[in-house]
Amino acid sequence: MQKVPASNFLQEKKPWLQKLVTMLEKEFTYVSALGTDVMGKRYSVSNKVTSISDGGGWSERGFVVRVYKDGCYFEYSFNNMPENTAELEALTIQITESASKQSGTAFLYPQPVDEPLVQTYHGEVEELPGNLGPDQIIARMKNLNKKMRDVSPLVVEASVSVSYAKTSKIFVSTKKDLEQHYYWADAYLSSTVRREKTTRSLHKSFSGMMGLEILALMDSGLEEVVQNACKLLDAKPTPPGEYDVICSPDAVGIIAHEAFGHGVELDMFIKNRANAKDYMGQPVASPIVRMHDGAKATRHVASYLFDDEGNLAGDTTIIENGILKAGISDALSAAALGLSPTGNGRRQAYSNKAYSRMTNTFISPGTDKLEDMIKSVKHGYLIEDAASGMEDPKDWGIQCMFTCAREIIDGKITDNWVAPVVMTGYVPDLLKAITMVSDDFEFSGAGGCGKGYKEWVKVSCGGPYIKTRARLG
Amino acid sequence: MLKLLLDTLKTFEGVEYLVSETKVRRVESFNIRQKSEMRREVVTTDIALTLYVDFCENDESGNQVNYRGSYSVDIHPGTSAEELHEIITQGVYAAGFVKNAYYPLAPASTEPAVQNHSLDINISQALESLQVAFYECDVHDKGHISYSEFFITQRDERKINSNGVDVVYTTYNAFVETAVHWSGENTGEIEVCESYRFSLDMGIDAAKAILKERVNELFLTASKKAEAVPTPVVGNINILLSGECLGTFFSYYRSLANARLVYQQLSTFKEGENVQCGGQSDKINLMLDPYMVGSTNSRPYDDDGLALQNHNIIADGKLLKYSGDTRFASYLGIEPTGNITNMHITGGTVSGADMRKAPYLELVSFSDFQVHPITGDFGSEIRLGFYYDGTTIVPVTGGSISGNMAKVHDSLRMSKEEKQFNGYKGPAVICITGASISAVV
Repeated sequence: MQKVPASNFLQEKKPWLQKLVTMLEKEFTYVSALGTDVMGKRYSVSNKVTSISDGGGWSERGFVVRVYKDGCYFEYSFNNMPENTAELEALTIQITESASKQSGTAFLYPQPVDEPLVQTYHGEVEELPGNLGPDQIIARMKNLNKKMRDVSPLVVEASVSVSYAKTSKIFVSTKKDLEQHYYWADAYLSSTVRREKTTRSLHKSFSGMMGLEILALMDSGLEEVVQNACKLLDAKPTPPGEYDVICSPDAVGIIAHEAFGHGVELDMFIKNRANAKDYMGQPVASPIVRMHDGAKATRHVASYLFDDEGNLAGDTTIIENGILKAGISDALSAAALGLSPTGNGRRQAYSNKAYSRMTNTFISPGTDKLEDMIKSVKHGYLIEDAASGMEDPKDWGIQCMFTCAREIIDGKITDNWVAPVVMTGYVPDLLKAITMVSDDFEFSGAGGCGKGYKEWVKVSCGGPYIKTRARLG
Repeated sequence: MLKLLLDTLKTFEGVEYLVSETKVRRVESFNIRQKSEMRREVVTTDIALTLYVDFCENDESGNQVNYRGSYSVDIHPGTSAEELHEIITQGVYAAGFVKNAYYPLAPASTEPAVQNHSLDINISQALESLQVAFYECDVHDKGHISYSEFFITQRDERKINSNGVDVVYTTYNAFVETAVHWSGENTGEIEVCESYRFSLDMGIDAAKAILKERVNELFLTASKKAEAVPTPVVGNINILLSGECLGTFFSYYRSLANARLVYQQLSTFKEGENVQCGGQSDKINLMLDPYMVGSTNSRPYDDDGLALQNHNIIADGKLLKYSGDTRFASYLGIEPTGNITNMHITGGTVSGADMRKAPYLELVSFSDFQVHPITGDFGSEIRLGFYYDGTTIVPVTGGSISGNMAKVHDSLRMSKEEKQFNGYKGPAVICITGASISAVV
């Protein structure tokens, strides 16, 4: 394993950031600053188009200063750090003046607590991206593209993409001095096939807290993603109705994420936007359901030492034996609710506000065997390919979109494919209907998570196979 | 930084480039009920650099073929001259392995640059003004605004390429996200949430009026959702779609008319052919309009710096021409339209009122209505709809709609009334059959 090096950029700017914090402390009763240097690359190879670009939208380099006085917070994001005292003084005046423009009635927060903490984290990867040249990366991706095209003449496009990001962050306040440097990577194999006028697409993703060792994973499942896309050419629409369903870890992850991930983000509690607020300590799922979230709960794309507000990562038990136990918080919502922050205060970038956000969210494995679970279904569906989801924490609705599903008849998986599949329902009904949980455990972190329709952050989710009853359409 | 970058690029012989500088000033306001939770300001300058390297290789038949490789990288403030030289050196090296068919860069416009300096908006004042107007709607006994987030952004864009392009323009855009809570007699307190994107090029007063109209609509939606019953089994009935989902619905046609998807064989659209299946449906007329007032997507130049103008893409259901940026248009041997996302779909021949005379299920609010741009699959959970069985209209919620665009072509009817949602202007309501409704039973 190779240790991820520190960011030279942040090392150079850190003394100036600390000086800025010191100058602002004369005006405010709490000051903190976050510096970010997220540098990545996205390689994409398809049949006719190849590209290399910066980080697939995740790259950023800049600073955000948070100040507090008399119950009110103000933040200032910038990416041009002054490097002399006069410019630093001008920036201090600018921030102070902007912060003083508070008008109308304010939502008052308690004085933040700043406890001494000095820690540094360097992640490790097997293959530092710098060790492989663009020629080697593209050659391996072109090989994957060719292998996919060779699987079937029906393939009209075989797309291979790999993204990675080296994430470096520093957090400074009067008493805190934190640093972290780590990599994550994700990759997609996407197959588009056509027969006459019918076109179908299917993808397989790979992800993890890793470097370019991700390339070595991509051979697995390559044939399957093309073959299954071809089978989708004969897929029928999903007959609307309620069915026994077996959900794959990929599908379970998105259900957990949308059902009780967003629903226990504590900044939603202070806006009275989450029904879970009134159900703490009460049963919300089957007794065999245990659900966690935390940057420290596992090692995946949303693992880190500290969040974007300088709080250490945690592992929150959200549901224990079907009982709703706790939520996940950013620093402000935790303070407003009189709780300790769980290390879930995350920003899309230094230029964005921090919210309560998920990290690695999962349902814990159980003891059932997948084979037995499938055998137990008289008529239902095996749902494997999650596409997207949408939360509704106030009304406890759920929408999960899946690319396809396979029909199960008399305990056997058939070759009857349906597409697309929209799963909807009332969250507690869906979770209370879980009757079997397998002993498998897989994660997926190839996508991002938005809060509503914006504020994208890298997350992972997963779990075992589950058997439940769900409304499909 | 920009000057240093351009000076450094001049030292690399034979390297073509596109430089995009974006200066952002944004003011943000976050509110819980009517109290200010936090304010933020953002002041950033970002530069995106794309390097192009040309090379020639023999193809399988031994013929020489020209290729153009590219490499895109962000240049951050404070990058030193030495770092810039290293970034460009590495980029030129990497671009040499990006083997794409040759394409030209956008040409310098022969027309004078469109400057919108007449717009000189104080974004802090705009924020205050919009917030005041917004909260003037928060006057209901049974409902209230739960929270709101306001983002007012000024973006100064400059695009320079090695082919003579050097253009500047400024945009002023607003984004507002909010939720309304409403207490129903049988449902308890329910929520509807919405986000609005609009350009301030229409003027602050017009923007305030539109924002108030949308918020008042949201209160109405909330009050109806609080009365809603679970979506029943509706059988084979007319399905009406209205609201923001229509922009997503019609984006399917814009996507498949795009030169990139055609080049990559992801689209089967052909010029002169019907994009619908025929039948008795209303025929689609789609125009791309880069200057649509009120749209946050409006701009005089695309990402390559190509000057933009209106283009009719689909007329009477037939594809007139593909749209595409400079690169993918050149691959297809057509004139580039530039990358334009605003679309105007001409209204149909019947009124929304006439559409509502026969039994229908009208869906007005979704969790997240999605259309797959290639397969045409669409679907979403239903947050609010109205079911008319021929005698009474009942608000409904829950369940889902799913289907495929190819299966609803033949039945499409579009209202003659038009409505605009950011970059979509077109029928206010459409009618389709052939989609599947999953009821709550």
